[in-house]
Amino acid sequence: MSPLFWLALIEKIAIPELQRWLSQLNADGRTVTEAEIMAKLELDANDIIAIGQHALDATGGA
Amino acid sequence: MTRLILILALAASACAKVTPETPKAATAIKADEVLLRVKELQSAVLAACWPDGVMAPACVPGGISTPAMREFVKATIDVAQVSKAVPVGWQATVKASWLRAKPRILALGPFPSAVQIALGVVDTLIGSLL
Repeated sequence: MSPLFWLALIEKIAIPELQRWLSQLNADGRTVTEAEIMAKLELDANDIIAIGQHALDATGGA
Repeated sequence: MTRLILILALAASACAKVTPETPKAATAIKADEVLLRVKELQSAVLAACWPDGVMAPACVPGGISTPAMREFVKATIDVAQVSKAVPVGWQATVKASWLRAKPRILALGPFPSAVQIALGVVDTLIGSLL
């Protein structure tokens, strides 16, 4: 199988946490607001930054 | 294994997608999609560095090198900071940031297959940003 095939497959399989989150809100009969999406974006970004910074600190700092 | 993957793929594609209502929300969703992939890449890199999950001053031999791990992590932090700080027009900035980091990262390869796959996904996704 070519790498492109696998990439396409992975893209399909990785049911995005994001879609699950949106679907859950929809199932609850709620409409997702811009503010909620922006808050989630910030939360995910902060997570990456915090864990990454921790790894850099463990190996000698930034 | 392949059969399981194909079943999961079909199940995933059958799920209805929820569309956000405003252009700004749609943009934020796309940015978050990129971030989630970047998070997967970061997790794959850290797992290759410290398979037991305990961070130490150097990566465990046999996985990924410490300098490579650090380059990856710096690139993921950059993308996260840009996405968070520049909600409007973030695509071009993320793309530029990634294109600067990519040669430095690739020079430190080869990488374990899990990292290689996550890298390919992030690279494809960021490359497709308009």
